[in-house]
Formats: sequence, C-alpha cells, structure tokens
Amino acid sequence: MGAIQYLELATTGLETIDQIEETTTPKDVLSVYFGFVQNYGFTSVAMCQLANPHLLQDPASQIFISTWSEEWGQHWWTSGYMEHDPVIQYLLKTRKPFSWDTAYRHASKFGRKIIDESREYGFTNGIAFPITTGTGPLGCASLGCDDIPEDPKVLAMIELVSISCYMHLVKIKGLSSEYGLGHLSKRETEVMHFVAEGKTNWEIATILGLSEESVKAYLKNISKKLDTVNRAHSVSTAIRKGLIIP
Amino acid sequence: MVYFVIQSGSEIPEDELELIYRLRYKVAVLNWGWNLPNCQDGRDKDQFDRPDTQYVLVYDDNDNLVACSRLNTTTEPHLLSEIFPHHCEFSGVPRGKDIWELSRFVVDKDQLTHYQQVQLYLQMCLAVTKFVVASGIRKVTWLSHKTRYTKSVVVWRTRPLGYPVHYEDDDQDYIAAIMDTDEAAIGRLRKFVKIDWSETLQDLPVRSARKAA
Repeated sequence: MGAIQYLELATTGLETIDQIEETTTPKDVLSVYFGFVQNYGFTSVAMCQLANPHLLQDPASQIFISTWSEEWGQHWWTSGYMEHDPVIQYLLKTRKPFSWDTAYRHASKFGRKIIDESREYGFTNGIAFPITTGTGPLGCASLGCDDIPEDPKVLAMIELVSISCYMHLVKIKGLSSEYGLGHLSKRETEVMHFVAEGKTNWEIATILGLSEESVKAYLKNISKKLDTVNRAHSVSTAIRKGLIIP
Repeated sequence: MVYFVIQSGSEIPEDELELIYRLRYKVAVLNWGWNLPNCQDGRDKDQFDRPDTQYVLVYDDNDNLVACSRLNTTTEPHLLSEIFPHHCEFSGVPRGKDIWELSRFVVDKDQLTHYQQVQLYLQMCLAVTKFVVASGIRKVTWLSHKTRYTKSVVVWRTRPLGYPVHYEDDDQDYIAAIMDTDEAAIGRLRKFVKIDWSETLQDLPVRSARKAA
C-alpha cells in the first residue's frame, strides 16, 4: 500500500470507530463493524466475551455478535463448543493476534474437530484479535477470510476498530469492567488452569518452565486476590467467577 | 485511605520533587523495564518536568507517596511533540490551549494490595479527569500500553493518533491517543467502575495543598 492508501485506511478506520460509537444496538454495531472488515477481504466476524459457559444463565446477556449462519451458531452454542473452541482456548495463552491455524495447531483433539466441522460451514481461514486489559483477556474478535491480509498496518487498524467495537458493546450491555475475566494475570490464569486439571506444583513448573517456588508464589498471590484459603477453594472460586474454564 | 494533591512544579518543594522522580524511576525503569535516557542515580527526571507542569500526587495515611502522574500543556514542547511524533502518524501531534498531555502515570505496587492498586488507578483517573475538566481542558493526549488504550475506550471518548508501535524494552505495544475530558466521561467512569466512592472522593478537590506533616 502507498501513502494515499494508508491515509485512506486511517480515515476509514477512524470514521468506523465514530460510527460504531453512534450505534445503540449490538445488531447495528455488527453491521458497521462487518462493513469495515469486508473491505479487507474478511467474510465473517464473531466477537465473543470470554466467560465460563457453565455459569451463563442467559447467553444473550453476554457479549456475542456474529455473522455466522443460524445453523452453525446454534450448533456451536448447543454443542458446548464455546468451552472447547481452539480460538477461545488459545486466548488464554497470548495477548497478540493469532491465526486460526495457530489455534488449530495447539488444539485438543476435540478442538480440532470443531475447526474441521466449521470448514463444512464455509470457514476456511481467519485471525483472532484478543481484547485484553492488562490483567487478562476479556474476549476476542475472530474474523474469517480466505487469506489473512499481510500488511501489518491493515491488521493494526482492524485491531483498533475491534477494540472500540468490543468496548462499545460493553457500554451497550451495561457491563462493568469487572465482568468476565480480568482479575488474574496471564501467568496466574495459566497456573490456575493446570491446577484445575489436577496437576501438581512440580508438573505445572515443568510445563510452564518455572521453578516450583515460582508456582507456589503464583498460587499464594492468586489466593490473596481471590481471598481463598486453599488450593481447592482457589479452583472453585476461579471457576465460579469465570476466571478459568474448567 | 489515600489523599490527593495537585500542584504545579513551581509549588512543590525540591525534596518532594525528588520523591516523585524516584517513584517514577522505581516503577517505570525497575518494574516496567523502560529504557529511559538521562536516568541517573535512580531518578527519572526529564526536560518536561517544568515549573508549569501539573503533578497529581497520591499519599497514603503515613504520608508516603504511592502514585503520581503529570500534565503538560501541548502548546509547549512535550513528550509527543519532541520524542514520539512518529506515534501520531494519522494527523500529526495535537496541540492547543485546551489540550494537555498526561504522562508518567505510575502506581507503587509494592505498597499496595492488588485490590488497592486497581482502586487507586481508578481514583487517579477520576482525579485527573475532574482536575482537567475544572481547568477548562477539553482533551488529554497520552502514550501508553495498548491495554490501557482498551480500558480508556470504555470510559472516555478515545481515538488513536497512530498505529500501535511495539517496544522491546517491555515487550508491549504502545499507542498514542487523545481522549475527551468532560462531565460525561466523569459520569461514565463512575458508572462503569464499581468501587466504593467515599464522600472524600466524591468531593475530591481539584486543587489542594498537601496537608501539614
């Protein structure tokens, strides 16, 4: 892209942010957001809040917008795919944008099955932009396409628009910044994830490349943050608060 | 309980300014890993610490400085105009009498629990916003982590001034941004942030002298 195209990219991106902030319904947010990313070859979008699916009283109360077909959307929700979707799982491991291929490579067998199935619904490739606030992931924007744009400035602008889009949805939904994830650091979330899987401190230390003392220190800090008295209490509290997905 | 003081550089005694520079060094250099030039003897002081610089200072009950930040006018040389203009590639560095720059927003984590840190961060946001609104400032620019940009978007009308730039010092993406500071932002801050607003905080003075030791 040349200088003029970059100027257009910036202008269009900023105008899109303006338009998103003028919307009052998730449907309108989706319309503006999808209209913007379509310019760069994206054919589907899904914006999803990271939350414990077992605790969702009403999925409609959480942040979720998508251009998915009704059939795939219903299948994804009713089959409990949110819990195992490799894109959502990989969110816990990074704060940088990542391709669906990357998520696939790190996925469980069941996770790979979800992506394989999605291909039957027309999804080929895509990229996810984590929405994070420093203490952990809140959610993500996951965009489908045939070929991921290579220009880093295009991806950077899409990420900026995605951030505004997600946070505007937070405003529309009236959710506080304490809703969803965000109380544990990335490393603490990883440690809790493995604790919930029944791993010992030594095993967690080996997996994460830490010393056993460091793992103990993380657990101590988690316990302070969650106001818990022991390991089991930390796990149950983290699950209850939606800080980890069991 | 903490209390806030907002004073200009010319009003702050030299020994208090030293505490500010040392706290900033501790947080920015030692905790965050910033590679700041001209940092000597454990002090972070630069050419933008001027007599007209406004400092937002937070003290605990024992009179320890636990957090601080600074505000500079954008009509004079400031960080974005002199050091980081490349962060403002969309439409240049914003300047104006009613635009100030916020920088060095630091909280001493060692002295606080996680919950206290979060509360203090939000209280400082409120203090800064109330102060600039009362001072007739309509917009504030800053350069910070992408994650802080994300937080900002939900409270203030915030726009990026350029694309994020990655820094190896602390492996973070940084964004320059401009945000609207108005009564609506103060209202949103209160609406979206669930903390116990004390009477003192509700009536936070926009300018006050430090209490006598």
